[in-house]
Amino acid sequence: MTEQFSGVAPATQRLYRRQLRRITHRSRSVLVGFVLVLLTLVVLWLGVETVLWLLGAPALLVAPGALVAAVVDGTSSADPVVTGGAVAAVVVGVVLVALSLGGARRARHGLSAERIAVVVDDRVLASAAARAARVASGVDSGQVTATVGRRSVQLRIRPSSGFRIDEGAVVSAVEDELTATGTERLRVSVHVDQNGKVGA
Amino acid sequence: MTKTNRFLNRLLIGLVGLLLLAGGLLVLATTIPWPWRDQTRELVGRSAAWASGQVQQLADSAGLTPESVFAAICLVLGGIVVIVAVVVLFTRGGGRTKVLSERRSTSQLAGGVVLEAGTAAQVLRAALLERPDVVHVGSGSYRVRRRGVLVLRVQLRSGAAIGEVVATAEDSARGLDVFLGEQPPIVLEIVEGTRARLSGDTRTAAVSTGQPVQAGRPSGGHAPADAATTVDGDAVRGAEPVGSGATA
Repeated sequence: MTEQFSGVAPATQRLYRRQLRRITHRSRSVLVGFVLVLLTLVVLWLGVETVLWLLGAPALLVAPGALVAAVVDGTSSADPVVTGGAVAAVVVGVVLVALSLGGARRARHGLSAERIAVVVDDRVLASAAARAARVASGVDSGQVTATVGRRSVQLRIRPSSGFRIDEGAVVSAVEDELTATGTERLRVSVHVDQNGKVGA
Repeated sequence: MTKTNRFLNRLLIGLVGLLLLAGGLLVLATTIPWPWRDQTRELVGRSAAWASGQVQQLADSAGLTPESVFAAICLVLGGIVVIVAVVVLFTRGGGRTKVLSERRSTSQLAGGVVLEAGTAAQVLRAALLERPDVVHVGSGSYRVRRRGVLVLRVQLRSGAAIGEVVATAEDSARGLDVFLGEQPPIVLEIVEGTRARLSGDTRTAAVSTGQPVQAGRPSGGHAPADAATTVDGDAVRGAEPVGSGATA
């Protein structure tokens, strides 16, 4: 087994680990941009409403004073707009808090390499696992489905009718492929369909 | 790979979320019928009265009307929010550089050696593109912790032997190290892109028994702990109904 980053200086190893974490996780910058643009628009709207209120002009949507009064006095307890807005704010708030606390992991895996840092897309990994399983099981293309999760690889094989699949050999082949790739921590499981494919 | 402060991203999203949550709950607590509604209204009313008193005091001391002071406070707070938002929005990303490493002469002679990232990228790209299973190699370079980092994005044909591609990149990187006399940080991203999807299977030895599979979920979505990427050969060719998550 290749020891990760063993061929580089400790400072580079630290840099690699940091970069691998950044590459395998989302930055949330798009979400931040979206939220901040919305926040800016809301603040600008409130500013306009405040100026209109000072000038004694009619409000665009709702005057700041009326909004405060609705909360303090409870005068608009039956107003569905206020209640609906509050419910929407709660839902969006919960979603944003959950997104800020969540892992935001990308469908990628870091691989073990000595000199360079390597990150591979899970789809590429699944493709390689599917190929290894297909070669080991002797089935045609399209009869193997590979699913790569965070810590596991699941393979679903639809055998050719009349031929038996050696699940152990398939697992071994896929594990060898993953080891050669540098992702030996993934658990491999194989499911062989009961129904075979006729004429494959 | 950019210099974006991700903790700040989390913090901003969390703060805005908490503000919305608190505001929404406050409005709901004072408007919908529930056992503690009156007490909540009373509490909010007392807080509003206290804030109003503070504004009144400020207005008296400044010789202004309370409405003017309230509006001024709102506008100042709003202005701060807008300025912070604009600054944060325009400081996302960044950190790209063309220089991978720079060595100044340690002797009394003037001068030094500057290695442009494009040069190193060209060396690695040439080695990788010699492999038949590599479709495309893109590159970028970033300044991370005062060091240049070369990033190579490699698109492989479906079912390619990833380990062999990585070994090729490692060998090239080691060769570059010997030539340069230093070890510039290199990150290899192996991705599946449009080119890889459309390239077909033109390799021979490793996959001569048939076409490897390819497809799966589109990139871009969050991948929670139990999320997975599914690859199904039939999904590509449309011979059978496409399974969950497959898009091709």
